[in-house]
Amino acid sequence: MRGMTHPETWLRPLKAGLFCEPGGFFIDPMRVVERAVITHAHADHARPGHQAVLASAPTIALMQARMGKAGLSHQALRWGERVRLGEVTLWLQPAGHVLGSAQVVMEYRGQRVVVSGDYKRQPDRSCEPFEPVACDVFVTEATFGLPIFRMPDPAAEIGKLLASVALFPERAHVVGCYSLGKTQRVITLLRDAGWQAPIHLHGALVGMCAVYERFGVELGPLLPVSGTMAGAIVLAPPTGTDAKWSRRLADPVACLASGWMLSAKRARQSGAELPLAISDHADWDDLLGTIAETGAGEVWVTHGSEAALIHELGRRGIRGRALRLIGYGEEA
Amino acid sequence: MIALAGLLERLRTCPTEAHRQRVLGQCDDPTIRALLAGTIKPRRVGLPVLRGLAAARVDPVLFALSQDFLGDFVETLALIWPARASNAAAPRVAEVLAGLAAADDMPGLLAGWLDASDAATRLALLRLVTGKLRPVSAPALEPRGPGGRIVAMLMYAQSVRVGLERDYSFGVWDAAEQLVPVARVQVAARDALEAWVRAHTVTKFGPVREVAPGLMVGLRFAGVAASARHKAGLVLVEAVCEGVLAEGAVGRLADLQALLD
Ligand SMILES: [Zn+2]
Ligand SMILES: [Zn+2]
Repeated sequence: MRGMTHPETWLRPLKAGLFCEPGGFFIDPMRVVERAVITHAHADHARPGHQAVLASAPTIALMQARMGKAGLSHQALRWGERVRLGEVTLWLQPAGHVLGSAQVVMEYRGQRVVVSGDYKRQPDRSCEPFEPVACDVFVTEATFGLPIFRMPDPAAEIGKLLASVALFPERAHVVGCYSLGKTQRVITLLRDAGWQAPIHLHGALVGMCAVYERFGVELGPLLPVSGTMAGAIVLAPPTGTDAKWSRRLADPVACLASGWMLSAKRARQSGAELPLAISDHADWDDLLGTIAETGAGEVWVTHGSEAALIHELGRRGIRGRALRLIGYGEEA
Repeated sequence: MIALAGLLERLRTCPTEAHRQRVLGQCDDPTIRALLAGTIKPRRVGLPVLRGLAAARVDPVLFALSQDFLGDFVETLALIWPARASNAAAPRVAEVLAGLAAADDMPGLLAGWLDASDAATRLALLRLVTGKLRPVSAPALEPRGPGGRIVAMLMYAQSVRVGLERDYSFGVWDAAEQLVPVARVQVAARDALEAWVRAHTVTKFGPVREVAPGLMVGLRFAGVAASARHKAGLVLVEAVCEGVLAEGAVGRLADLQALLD
């Protein structure tokens, strides 16, 4: 193994985040750093204030729309475009999580590591599909790293929403969803299910939708919320249904689109009348299937339910390691 | 079972009785209605059988970690079940009821049904065979301050003054699934109600008629008081009858436990 250097020695979990020493950069750092590679624009991965940011073009645009700047300086990479950072060769491959979401591929002294960021494998025409990359070490999330999490067909979940609109046409259906990713996914799923009427957006969701459309994702007619919204579908931030803006709505049906809705307990806690199990993260089967596709002999888990995943990997002869990075959230 | 699963999912979170009625109105399967009403009691499968199935199909560490997360054995089994490729369609409710009644290889029968079902259907199936269906189908009690609302079953009717008023006693299920009276309410006699009572009288002792279970009402009450005179150990204070529930609402009869909590 001369010339090979095990990734454990050059890619390390520090307090600020995952640090690539020979490249001199952090991936999705929790604190302000000099050089950051950002996997995607969700707030817990893309924090403001870094000196130099490297990311995909849509991620840069989404960061700019969210916080004005994507760092004091930024560089946008095309998919698969190689750059040299210090002694490390780096490129980005789509992760299928939200628009612009990327896996970070790093090569150093004969070893290849892929950091997945957040990812999913279900088809989603609102973002670029995940592309597996063969590697020695795969660094994965495990938001849904328990075998109870196997996501249903999202079209069937959207079917529940449309059935409810048909059953309660005098009520407003308010779907709680995060502004980046879930909103646009729900919109495209509704369009694919034949819902051609305008979809009404809470103001907090408008900015991200505009960026999606700029990158060619067609969302159909979108309108602001007005009047009672009886018979209409309204998308709003997840905590929006008891707020002031919703008081005029006709007997609103609170819906929540999240992978956590798969659990009856979480669904009950959310208070949603219509829970929809629509997830932007890989479920149990997709985590294991993806790991197998990468051919990695070693898997590091950044965050989520790592115990079950590492146990199962051990049964399959793959070495698992929990990084326990703190600070990544549950936007799911 | 797919229809029952969808119905249970939607009923569980309906905010009001009217909404619930609308959802139930979609269901025209008499077997499902009878199940929700509790008039059909499926043969139960004991937890040891289900634990055996879990042990046979799932790694014990994965099962334990999952149950830790969910906090519920039946839900864990439903979600974690690693379905084997199956050409069978998800079982129909009538098929399940008949199968349960006749089965001599219960684990094999259940495993086949679980293999043919999706997660929501597996959960409904397991709730059905473990007897949890009725509290699952809807929260029966909506606490409001010290009082609340509850769905209760008519048990006895008693003349107070001929032709003018009646005392009606209403009950809920106790832990042994027996109806126990929890409220006595005076209501002006109405012809339709009287006709129902006469048609469903099981026994008469003096002015009191005992009726067969079947008529459900919504009760509003100001509080719950301990009472040694009542078999339930409690009685509803200032109970008022809010109305007779349409047939089909019968999945919602309260449990005594809901009053004790
Ligand atoms: Zn994310
Ligand atoms: Zn995340």
